[in-house]
Amino acid sequence: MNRPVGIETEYGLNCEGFAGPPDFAFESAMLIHAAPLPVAFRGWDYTDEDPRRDLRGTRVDALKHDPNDHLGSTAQSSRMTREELLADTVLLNGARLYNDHNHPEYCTDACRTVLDLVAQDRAGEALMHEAEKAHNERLDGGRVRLVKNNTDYHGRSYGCHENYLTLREVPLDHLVEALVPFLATRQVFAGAGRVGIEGGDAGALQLSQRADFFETVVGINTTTRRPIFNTRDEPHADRTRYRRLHVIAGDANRSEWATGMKAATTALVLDAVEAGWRAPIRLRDPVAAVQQVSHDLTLGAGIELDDGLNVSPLDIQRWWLSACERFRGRDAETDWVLDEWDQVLTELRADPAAVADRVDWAAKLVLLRDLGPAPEAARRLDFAYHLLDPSLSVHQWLTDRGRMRTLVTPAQVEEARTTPPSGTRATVRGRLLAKFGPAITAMEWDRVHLHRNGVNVTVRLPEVAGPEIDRLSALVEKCATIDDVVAALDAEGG
Amino acid sequence: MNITWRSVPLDEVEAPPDPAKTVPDEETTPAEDDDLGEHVRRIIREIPDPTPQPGGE
Repeated sequence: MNRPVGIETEYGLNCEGFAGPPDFAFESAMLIHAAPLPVAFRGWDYTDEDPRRDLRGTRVDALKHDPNDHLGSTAQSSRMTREELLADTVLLNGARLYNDHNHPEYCTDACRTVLDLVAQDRAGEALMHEAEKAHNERLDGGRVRLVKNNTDYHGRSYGCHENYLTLREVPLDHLVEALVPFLATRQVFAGAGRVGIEGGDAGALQLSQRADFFETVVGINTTTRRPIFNTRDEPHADRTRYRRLHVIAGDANRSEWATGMKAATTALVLDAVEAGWRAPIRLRDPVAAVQQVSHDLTLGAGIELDDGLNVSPLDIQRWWLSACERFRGRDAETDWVLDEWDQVLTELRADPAAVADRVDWAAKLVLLRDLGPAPEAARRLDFAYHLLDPSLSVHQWLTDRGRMRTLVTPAQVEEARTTPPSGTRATVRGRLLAKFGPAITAMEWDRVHLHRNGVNVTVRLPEVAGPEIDRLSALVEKCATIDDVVAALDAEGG
Repeated sequence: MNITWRSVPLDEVEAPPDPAKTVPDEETTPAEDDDLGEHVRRIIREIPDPTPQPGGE
């Protein structure tokens, strides 16, 4: 990919057998504390975090929250310290693990290749399952099951967000124009599938876990009034040069192919916009389109455009693919992404069952066709597809039998648990943690604070990738002590 | 929290692998293709119905 990309996944907590209402915040935090991590940094530097800052140049006083949220008990979490509750943890691979209010969240560090991103995401799944097992062993009654999905089937959603470093010089309108139709239709191959339609048929399959939860086109909120294009302005990098495009209109995929392709195609669209391409069409009602596309398993119903024409989601995807063909020949990975994109659109038009080995919703479609379960059983099958426990996960069952394509090997996933993705500042953060962990006092995506000999030192990482990051990474690698690092940085005036 | 520290040697960064290359066959040996219907029925029996959870983001 031509830009750093990361994925943050909030895992669902399914609580069974508790004596009273579960305290989700407590269970989430304790599950993270139970994660087997021989090396990690506990803590996070929140100094510069400001999720109320808007890409449109404003700052809201407060973010909106769902007044009907299901919060459960707070009997135990209310007695925890802020640090205990947040459970902020930084891993050797650069990832961040923490309790995002009521859900354990795993954020990969920035990746430059599809395979790195998939391996890092899968490493998160592996760690979270180990945390789940360790947490359950400590429980005195009850059981917590982790689910990599986006809905509780009771009217609430939690997120899987993608982050793309983009150039701030690109007009925001150009990004919105290009991304809204793309994200509204990307679900044809990136949708994780869901049994049940909010306020509708509880037994119907739809393409996306999240489609029913979007209410507006552009906005800064995330937990209610969810926008297709989120305008949170937290670049975690040089603010004068970069935006971090925070994409919330996506699903938590179990398919490795879908995880990689949703990110790689989006990155290509951003490449096109930064190269000057402008979206040729606008949707008349983007929010309605997101839901219409998700509910139409034929993929054939037309979406109304601003000019009154109706175009299928597959045709819109073809338009965007054509715009990205300009990058063919750039490198092997780009050609692979373009080929896969082309092929999946062709196969989806002929028969969605043909892509059941790659596309999560299509895998569910075939299962439901083959088994014909009643609505309640269909919902449980859908739920079980996303369970992390491999002995219960329907996705894992399919994978073990070669019915789902994989992009990375188990060995690569294992390696990704302790090895940062290559070519980004993750290597600097990961190497500093591995070599000089006891000297670290705080970490953030774009800085590492160290303390040595009574002096505080901050290693700043305003670039996410590039020659400066490569140089810093090599410098940390060759230094034997933290004093060597500081001396080398001082010598460079850093 | 029982976090301990140790230094971990990190391998040299390798060139990114080519996604066009498929996973070697020997690393993805499929399991025996037993009855999916029975597997799913067992899961549906064993797991509880999805319970309400807080929303997120």
